[in-house]
Amino acid sequence: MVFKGNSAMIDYDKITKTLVSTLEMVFPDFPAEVKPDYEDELIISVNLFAVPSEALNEVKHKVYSLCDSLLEGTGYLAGIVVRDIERTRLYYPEFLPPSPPLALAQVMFQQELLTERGYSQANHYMSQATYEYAQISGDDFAQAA
Amino acid sequence: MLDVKAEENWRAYQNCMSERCYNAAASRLYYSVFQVIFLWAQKKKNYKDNPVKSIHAEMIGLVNKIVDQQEMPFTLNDLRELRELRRVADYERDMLNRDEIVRHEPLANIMRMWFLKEIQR
Repeated sequence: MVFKGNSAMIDYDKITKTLVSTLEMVFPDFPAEVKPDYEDELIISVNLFAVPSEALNEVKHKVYSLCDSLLEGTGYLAGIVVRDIERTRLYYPEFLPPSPPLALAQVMFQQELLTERGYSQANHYMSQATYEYAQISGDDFAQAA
Repeated sequence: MLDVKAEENWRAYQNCMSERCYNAAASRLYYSVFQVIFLWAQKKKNYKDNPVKSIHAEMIGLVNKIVDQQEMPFTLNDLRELRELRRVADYERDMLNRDEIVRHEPLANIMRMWFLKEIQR
């Protein structure tokens, strides 16, 4: 941790964009949100969503390390909350990434690749999406992180 | 007086837990630590109010300096996590549960006692 509280302030928008793009690059499977803190001007709130509970601590440590190194010398400090899949599903469903079958179905619809059989298959994927999402192994996410 | 308020927050935390008011408990738990740190900053670090609205970051910054200098029974991230728990409790959409709060209690108490002892030295 390198925050000293009195460093020269650096452009806030530039910092938040860098945080978002870096988090998206390092954790492509976990949606990230970066926003101003509700009450402290030097804290930037960083939220990461839909992390498998088995990988929560490991991902959290990596996010701390990543944000601290990105914010070093800027005068800002990251306030980090990492939420698991269940909490994301309950309270922040808009941050649930599409399940692999749902994503595939969306691509098929978008690209108009659907034959009669394909349409039926895509519908099946979309109807199963929630179920399939729950079946994704935590190990898969941990490895991705 | 801040030490009295910190103690009051610690008791309020325990009462909130008994009443299963977990979001309020998280908020009180954080303030039972924060107010002791704020008092320590004023008494031992000659902390003066800063015009920038950043009291929590300022306290974390001061604690960071001593964590860098000496071995401590807690880490800086323990304090940061406690603060973010309180952010969730006070501002975010999600409801906290008992386990999430209880996990932070031992270290919060260690932090509280450590700073109280430092103030009295």
